[in-house]
Amino acid sequence: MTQPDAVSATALRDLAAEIFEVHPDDITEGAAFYEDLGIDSVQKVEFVVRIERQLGVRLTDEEAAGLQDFGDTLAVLRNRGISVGP
Amino acid sequence: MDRDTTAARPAGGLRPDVVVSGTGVVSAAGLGTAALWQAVTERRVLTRPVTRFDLTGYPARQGAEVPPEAVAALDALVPPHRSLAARYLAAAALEGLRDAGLPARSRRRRLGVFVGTVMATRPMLDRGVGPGRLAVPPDGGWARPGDLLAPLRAVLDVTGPAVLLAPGCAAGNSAIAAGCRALAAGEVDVAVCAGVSELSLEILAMFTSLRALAADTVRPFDVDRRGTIPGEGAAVLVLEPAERVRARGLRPSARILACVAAADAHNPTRPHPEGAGLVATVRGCLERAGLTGDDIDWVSAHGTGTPASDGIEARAVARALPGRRRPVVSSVKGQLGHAEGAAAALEAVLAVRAMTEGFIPGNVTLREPDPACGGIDLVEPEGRRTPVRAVLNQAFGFGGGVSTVLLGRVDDGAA
Amino acid sequence: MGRPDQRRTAVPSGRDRRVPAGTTGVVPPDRDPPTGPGGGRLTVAGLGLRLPGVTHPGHLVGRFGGASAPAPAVRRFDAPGSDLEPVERPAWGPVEPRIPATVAGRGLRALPYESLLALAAAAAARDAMVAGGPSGPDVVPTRARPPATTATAAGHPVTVAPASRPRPDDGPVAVLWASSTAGLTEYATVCVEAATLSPGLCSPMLGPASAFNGPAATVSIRLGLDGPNETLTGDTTAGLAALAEAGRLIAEGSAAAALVGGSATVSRWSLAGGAGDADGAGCLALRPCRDGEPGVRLGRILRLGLDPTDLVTQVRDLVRSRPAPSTLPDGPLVVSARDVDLVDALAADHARPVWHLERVLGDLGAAGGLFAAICAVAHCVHTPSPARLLVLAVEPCGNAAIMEVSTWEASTLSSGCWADTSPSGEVTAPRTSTPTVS
Repeated sequence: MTQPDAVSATALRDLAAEIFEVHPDDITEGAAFYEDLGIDSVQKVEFVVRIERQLGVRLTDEEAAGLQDFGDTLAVLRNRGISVGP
Repeated sequence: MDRDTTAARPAGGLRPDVVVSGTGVVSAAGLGTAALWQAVTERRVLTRPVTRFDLTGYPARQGAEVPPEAVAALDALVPPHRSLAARYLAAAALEGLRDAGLPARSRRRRLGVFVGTVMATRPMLDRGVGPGRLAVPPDGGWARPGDLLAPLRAVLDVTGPAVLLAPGCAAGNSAIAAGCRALAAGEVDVAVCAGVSELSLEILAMFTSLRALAADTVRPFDVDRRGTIPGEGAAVLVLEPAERVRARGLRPSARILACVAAADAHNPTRPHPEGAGLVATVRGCLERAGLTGDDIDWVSAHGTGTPASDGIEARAVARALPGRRRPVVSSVKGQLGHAEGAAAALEAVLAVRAMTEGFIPGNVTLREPDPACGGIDLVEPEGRRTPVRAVLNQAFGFGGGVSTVLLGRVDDGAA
Repeated sequence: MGRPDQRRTAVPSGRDRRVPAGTTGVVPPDRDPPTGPGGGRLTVAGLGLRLPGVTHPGHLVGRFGGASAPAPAVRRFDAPGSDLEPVERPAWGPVEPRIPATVAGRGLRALPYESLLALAAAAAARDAMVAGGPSGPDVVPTRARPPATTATAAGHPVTVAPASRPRPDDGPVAVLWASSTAGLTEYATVCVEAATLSPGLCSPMLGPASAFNGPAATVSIRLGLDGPNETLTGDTTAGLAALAEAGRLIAEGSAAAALVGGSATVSRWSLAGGAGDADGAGCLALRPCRDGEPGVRLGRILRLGLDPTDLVTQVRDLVRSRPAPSTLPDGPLVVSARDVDLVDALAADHARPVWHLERVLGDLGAAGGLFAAICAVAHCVHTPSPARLLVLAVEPCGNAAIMEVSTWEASTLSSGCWADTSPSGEVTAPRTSTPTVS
């Protein structure tokens, strides 16, 4: 797997919406996955794995556990040198 | 729906008196109940790097495998079969019947088989996992769960029902409960109750993706617990009415005082945050047996070592067993890993031994108890030598099914 | 075992209601022990069905009437990432899950197909049980997937059971489910992903769904049922064993009612294992029957291990030895078994017609025995005159179970409308002596 250097936030949001079974508009950067979106831990790990599969990155356990909302997700990817476009 | 004589039974006690007349075990400690008890009391940790599968690249590579020499020794006991679980089950059943003083072959008694499993024969499919593709094993037995009983049927006569229960990781206790119900209804004379599981690459892959595996050791109730480690094996409890055992001149090793099941009805993978199902089953067991929290000498916990589950279990046990002292709790999964379908049955066998030997196994891998588990009395690693009269054996799993069995010492008239 | 000595007292609401504090050992008047020699006779309070082409219990009965059973369509099955070649072959199904609107919608997308079928059948059976009662017809609409565009998916009246219906505070509802295929595709897919992807990249959602208990867990979680939750697997007797276990759980007071179901899904994997070639789910809502209450009753279940070397003779003897003399006419013998020769021997031997489940509905694996029971219930509901029939499940290894199903009528009942007209197959089974067949 080669790691792409850019990803679309819209595409990531659509991916999360599909897994979480919510409307993409509900996935704001600050909406907490558990408290606001009402997902469970397996849905969150599924989101992590799908990102890992698509982008060829591997998140550490600490990074995965630290994802509380969509904003965290974008920040972790940026930290890995992936540019997040619209 | 059965030949049930409940109405004729006196209130206030369980009739008939269902007892354990024999036990059989195949475990990471090898063949036999004695080998398992010795390993547990010697505080051996039986999780180690998996040899059966190539786990190169996996971040956590531990398992509690039945050792290769024990697998090889099965050849002298039971017929060949592509499902190791099926062979473990047959070997454990033979030991259990021998221990109970019963011949394996007889069509003159009503013998039923009640087997708990999580994946049945499906792990036969794992052997086709190779680089880049799945080479599907040809005979298809992995799709036929009933094949799990094939070697057992080859070595003993099943004249009563053969029931396979797959309710998740409470399976072993579900099997004990179903066997007790069959005895109480008069459907069988002998209930061979078992839990069985085979180490599965699928389960290792699943827990890896779920990030729920401990890389080194399972540490139930420890502040630094990092996850679980899969195990495998089979355990059998032969159950009979007490009078039937005594008529053979034998002394039963334990009584089954109550079996209660419930569901969390909450989430596919997470326990109810208050442990609702577990609390209900523990209270139900006490109520049916006429005991209080102070009567319970040992809680053999589910205790898988995962961060969320152990804390919920500790709080639920503390809430369900109020009394003058905190409930005495340990989990043997630090030593045996989580043997899934076999786990509750292995733990039930240890509960029987704990009562006959007067020894409570400790939390062998516990270093620093999680303050969140402060409501329970976690047994120190060396265990406790003390009279054990009543043991709660609790189990739950994915899907929210909970099943708890209360066992009692035979010479105790309290129940 | 584990009997509560009928000590269920005033039942507090909330999660802990099944273990009331301060139990006194008094049986409240509305919780009489079940009547009947079995101590646990059950009445059918609801039925949910998801079978291809069956939208009405009458369809089920009609299928067994003769040569009219439609042949299954040829379908294509594949198993990408494995060395199993795609195949095209006849298989029963697929069937639309049609989740009832009473089940909340979010979270269904990730459920395996078999869990969806199971949930739909269980919700339909539960809704029919709850709707039963003296308050008049209730509507049980269905929500189609994709959304319905025609009026045929709208709800139809579901029946009125003349006797007491379970209330939410009656006690826990047990869920018992029989399946040998639940989770099989998910298990195999995880194995494929373990072979084709790097470690840690298998879908986390698949793993927990790869065991047998997906249907029972889904029904419990989605319908909020916190009674005992059991999954039975193996072969065809499992469905009847589930009914036996439900009867015992109700008799010992562990549950006030039970949803007992079975399901099967055909896949490239089940075909490779010779372990099922049909899709479907069915569920019976059961509760204790009361004296004089009309309806369809399940009789005792006999489970036993026959000598496999002498199976035909022993099964013949078993059928002949059942049931005790009765004034009710005999209905068909409903048999679930893979062994066609065995079924032919019974047909040649027996005075009454033999309905061979697998011939008409396909191989439903562990759910077969449960579907055989459902066919018997459908016969009772559909037949104008009272009926009594036997349900038999036999496996080649000798594992066998037999149960009686009968119509039970109160003499005071005359006419009534029991509706089995719901397009989704729901029906409340209590019937009267002069039903109208629509």
